[in-house]
Amino acid sequence: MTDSNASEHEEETPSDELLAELERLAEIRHSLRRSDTHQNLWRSESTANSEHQRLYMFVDQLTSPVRFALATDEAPPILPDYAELEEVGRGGMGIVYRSTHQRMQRVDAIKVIRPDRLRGVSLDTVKQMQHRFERELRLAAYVTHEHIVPVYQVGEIDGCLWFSMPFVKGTTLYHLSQNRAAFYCRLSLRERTTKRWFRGAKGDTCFPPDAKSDVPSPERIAGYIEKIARAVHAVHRRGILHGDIKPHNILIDTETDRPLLSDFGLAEFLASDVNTVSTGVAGTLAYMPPELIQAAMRNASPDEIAATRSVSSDVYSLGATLWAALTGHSPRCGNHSPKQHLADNLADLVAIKSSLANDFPGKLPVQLLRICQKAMAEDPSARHASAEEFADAIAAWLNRPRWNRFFPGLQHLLWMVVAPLLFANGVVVWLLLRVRASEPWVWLAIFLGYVPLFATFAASQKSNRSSESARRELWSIWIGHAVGSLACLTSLRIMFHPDPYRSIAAFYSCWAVITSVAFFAKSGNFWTAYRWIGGAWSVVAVLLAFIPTVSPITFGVFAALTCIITALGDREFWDA
Amino acid sequence: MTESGTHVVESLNEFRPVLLTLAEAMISSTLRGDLEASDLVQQTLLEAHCNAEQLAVMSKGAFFAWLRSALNHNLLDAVKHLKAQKNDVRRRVRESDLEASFIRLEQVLIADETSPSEVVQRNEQICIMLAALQTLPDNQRRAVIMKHLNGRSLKETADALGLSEPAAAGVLHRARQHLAKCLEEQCDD
Repeated sequence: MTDSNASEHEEETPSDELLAELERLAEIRHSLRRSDTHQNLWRSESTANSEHQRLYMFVDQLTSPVRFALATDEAPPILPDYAELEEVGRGGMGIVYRSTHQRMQRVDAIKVIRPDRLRGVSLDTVKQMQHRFERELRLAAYVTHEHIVPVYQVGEIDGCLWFSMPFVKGTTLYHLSQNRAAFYCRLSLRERTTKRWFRGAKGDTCFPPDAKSDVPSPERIAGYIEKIARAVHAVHRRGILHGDIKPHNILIDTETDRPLLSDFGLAEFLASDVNTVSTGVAGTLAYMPPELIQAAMRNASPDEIAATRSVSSDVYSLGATLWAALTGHSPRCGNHSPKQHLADNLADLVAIKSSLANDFPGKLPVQLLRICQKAMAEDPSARHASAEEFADAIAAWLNRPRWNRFFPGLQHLLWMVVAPLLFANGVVVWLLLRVRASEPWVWLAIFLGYVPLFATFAASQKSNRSSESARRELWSIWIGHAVGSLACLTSLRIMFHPDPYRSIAAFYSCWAVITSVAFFAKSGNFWTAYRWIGGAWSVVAVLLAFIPTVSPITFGVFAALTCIITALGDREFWDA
Repeated sequence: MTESGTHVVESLNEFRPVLLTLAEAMISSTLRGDLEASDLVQQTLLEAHCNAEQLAVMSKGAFFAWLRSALNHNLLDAVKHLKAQKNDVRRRVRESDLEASFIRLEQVLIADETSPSEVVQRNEQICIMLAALQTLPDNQRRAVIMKHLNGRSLKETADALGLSEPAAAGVLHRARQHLAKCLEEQCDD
């Protein structure tokens, strides 16, 4: 409404009769919105008419959500081909019904865009919206992917837009993440109250191995997000953006444990409907990239916002979704006032809430959080270049060297059994040398030290196929270690021919050097702290030269220490 | 304590008109005369005052949600009480209907960080509008509530107010003008 119109209005106040007429027209128009014949009811462009129309729409639009809620006698629409609709859910934008498609005998979910969202919008806009809605949905339907909820049918009934999709029996990622957060809160509470300092099997309680349990492990969540990211990439290649990726939109099919992304291409559509009260930015603030929030703060035009939106904004949302699914909190805890919320979002852009991560009672995998952090970088160019790259990063994390997954006790076996055995082995060799036992027995005793080590690796055979390469690497390093040591002992024996005991004293120094090399080799693909252990072994090698008499015991002590450090220190490797 | 007390009182004053409008809209025409919206709101605010310490730490959204649910409980209690008193079939209001509409109201008004940005903004405007309704003269307010919140037609509104249709249309138009002005002023602030 312009000022000139307002002043005109002050000059001539419409009569009550005219107002009553306009009021009735407005009512008719609302009940028969879709019928074109009634468009001409609005063609008489008098000032009173436009003023009345503006005010009517203004009030009606704001009151419609409340009216919609208070109405008790509200029947679901009757759709062709469908049996009676049964309401299953209701959100800010639409109502979800469940019904059987009568010809196909298939249970569908039907989403009807809430009629109150469309009230107070001019007919032309509605027409435009319907076109865009159908176009977007056709595009979305064009992309068939096993992790995207397909759209079966698009339609319009009584001025309401609706579309049908398969009814997914299951839950959403949001609910799973809430379960997870609640589970860890209870767990930490119980631990605090019972104060069990020594919980040998803590790993078991932290990561329930059951793939279908209600409390998903980080691996399971990461697996879902990886699949979703690949689906998003497939759609990006067709030039369609999702625009509103969040845990709520990721459905998990209970039967097949398959993640499905829903509401494709709708965010943008839903943004442009009621622009008068909105900032014009679609999507959910908590999962929205900063550049879009900034555009909203500038009151940018819808075109500008559409230009800002890109593949990297979906990558940001994917990162935020992963973060939220892991922690149970959305990455930016919101304030309820939208202005404050926007300001908050801008204030801690990169400050991915590390304190929040610390507060999380369970263990959060550091490397996975790093992936989130990269995807949620403030600068779009610093993020993963595509959803596929993001998926690859998660896949790399899922396939990381890790051999404790299906054998949770392995870690404890290493420090409680293998470490004492290695130490005992050192002592035995030392005793054999003291009593001048025959040479083959000493050799046997020395190489028996490999038995507990290889037994541990053999126990880890149960681990999944994804860590196959890691296990192969581990085996080749340690078999090489054993073979090299045997060759070394043999050559030393030949060098110091008459005296077998001197050759063994020298061998321990060489053995420490070989161990040092093995750990340096492991530091590349495994725990980075192995290079420090490798360095320590080099020092031990020199040290052993000074105390040749007790070298078996010294070596045994350091071997046991290494086992203990590996078992207790290498968190990421074991189960992070 | 006193600080939290004054904080709560300020918030209560802010939400009083919003609650009043909601209560008026929720009391259906069959109950009008038996129940007073202002009594229900008064009772709700009193309860809030008693729990000031607990409420002082809540965020604004959570506080408003608490008030709404307290109002709903009071309304349901009042309806039950009324039914026990008078066994009049005409006056029978189904509590399940009231409850269902309250749940829907919550779904509409609750906005958290997971809601689309637009919904958050819209809800703030709805609250301003509901509060502004209380600044209207009595018959204008009733007309807008009947027409826009209860979804009645002009004829029904006119009948309920005891006015002719043109007179009711005039009342409605003036009420809308007033509301629009209120909201524009609020938005300028």
